[in-house]
Amino acid sequence: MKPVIQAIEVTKVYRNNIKALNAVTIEVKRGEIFALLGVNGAGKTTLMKILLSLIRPTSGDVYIFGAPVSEGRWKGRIGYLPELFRAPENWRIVEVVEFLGRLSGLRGAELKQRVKFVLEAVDLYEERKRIVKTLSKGMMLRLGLAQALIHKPEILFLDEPTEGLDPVGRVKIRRLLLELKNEGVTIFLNSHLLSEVEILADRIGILHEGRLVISGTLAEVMPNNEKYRVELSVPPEKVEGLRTSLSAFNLSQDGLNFIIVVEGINALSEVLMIAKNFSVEIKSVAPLRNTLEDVFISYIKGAE
Amino acid sequence: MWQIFVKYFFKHFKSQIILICLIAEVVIITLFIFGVKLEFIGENLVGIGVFSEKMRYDMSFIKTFIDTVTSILFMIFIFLYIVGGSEFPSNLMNDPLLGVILALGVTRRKIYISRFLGLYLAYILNALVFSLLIFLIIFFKGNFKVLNLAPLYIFLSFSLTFSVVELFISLIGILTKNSLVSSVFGILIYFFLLPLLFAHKDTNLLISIFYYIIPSAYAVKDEFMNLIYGGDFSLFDFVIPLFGSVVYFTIGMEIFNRKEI
Repeated sequence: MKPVIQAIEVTKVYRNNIKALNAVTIEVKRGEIFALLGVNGAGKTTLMKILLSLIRPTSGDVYIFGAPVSEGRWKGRIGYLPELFRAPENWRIVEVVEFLGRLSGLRGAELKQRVKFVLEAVDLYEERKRIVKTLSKGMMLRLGLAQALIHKPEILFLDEPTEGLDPVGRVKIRRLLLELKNEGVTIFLNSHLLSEVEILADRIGILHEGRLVISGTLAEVMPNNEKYRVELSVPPEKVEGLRTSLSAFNLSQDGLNFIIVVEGINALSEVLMIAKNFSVEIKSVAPLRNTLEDVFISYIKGAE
Repeated sequence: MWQIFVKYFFKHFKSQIILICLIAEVVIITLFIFGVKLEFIGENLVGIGVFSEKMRYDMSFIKTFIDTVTSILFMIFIFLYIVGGSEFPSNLMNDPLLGVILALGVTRRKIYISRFLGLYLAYILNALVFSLLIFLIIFFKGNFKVLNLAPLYIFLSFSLTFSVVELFISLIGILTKNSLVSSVFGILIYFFLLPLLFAHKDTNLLISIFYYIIPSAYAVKDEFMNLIYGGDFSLFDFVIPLFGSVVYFTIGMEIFNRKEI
């Protein structure tokens, strides 16, 4: 399947000679949620703006829906939520969404229906007459999301879509994004909220100082390190003997509980065999996975 | 494009500057209807009475009066246009919805044209209504015989001056990226440099060229004042500012078209 978003060797050098992006290549397939991670200033927003044609790359090519971005085949088919979305202060919520709906070609009953739908989807319908300047940060963000969805886009570009939201709001937005994904909408999001990304994204890319450090599915980016945590409940008379038998392993003791961290399936088998021989209770065996945060930090450090 | 034009037209139309202008116009029209008596011989205005017969003025006084008032009004309007024009680029570039609108596929040229027209027509619409009302009042007071086009000339002068000043200052604003700098620059040019150039435009070729490169609002105003008094019409003085408007508009639009958002 052809990717719907494709950036090939995209480089952006600003006039002050700052290289914001350095030969970045990414591909996003239809219906995927792709998350671009990176610390502030990594180049995430610059890349998103290049994909949206808001700024031009110094070199490299961008294709949206398989055509060069300059051809404009994307027109009316993408939605965009900028970072720190703002709207004219004196407009009402419904006015902002209606205005952008009209600009995207919606009229009459269809427009009204879509406005109602998107405002309900972000829990703003009851507040639709409120003036923009009275909105909280979270409401403003939900308004931003509503306007991005007004014309049923096929691709959604979201720059920090859950930044500043409370946990309840975050869960709602997450559910909405997953619903959109199920409807076949492709979502490209910039974020540094790694826990969100871990739940939402099919594929991620890590951008650091303008370079794409790694890109792939979560499984590819977060390889299983084959570490296991074994917890044993040991009767007092067996503590000394078992400790001696497990001395070759990474063992920590919490009263009568032994916690052993082993690397590799063979070591795990060996520990379980020793536990069986001593007839002690195995309370739990669990694989130890790296969190996305661990992976992110290790890639960033590796890149430096 | 139409949606953007309508939105920004009403935004400007509801602005304080336009509101002040509307109040002033209502006062002038009320005064004109109830406080001014016009005397005609045939279709020619020969005298004006204000409030009572005791305050009657002959035409030489009226001419001086209209000249002075028009010059003061022009100064005030030019000042307002400079302020308005200098804010146009920064309002355009800092529009919180600009990125979102562009992502919808609306071109930058369309945004520039519709937003400028929104601003421009909001400013000149009330001037048009005002001029038409004055024209009709003169028509009624002249017993339906007098078709005095002076108010309409003033309207044309107003709209042309507005476009010239607004576009020139907007262009400076886009280039300097600073509304304050473009305001100061505009005030220096229109209130200090242009009057100097105007006085010496026929004595030095360089000054002459410079004078015509920067469209002169004063020249437009003088041209139309001339028309009001039945003088000769110089197409050149009319076309140069119009040409300047088109050039500045095009340059401003193309710079905006290349700006990174």
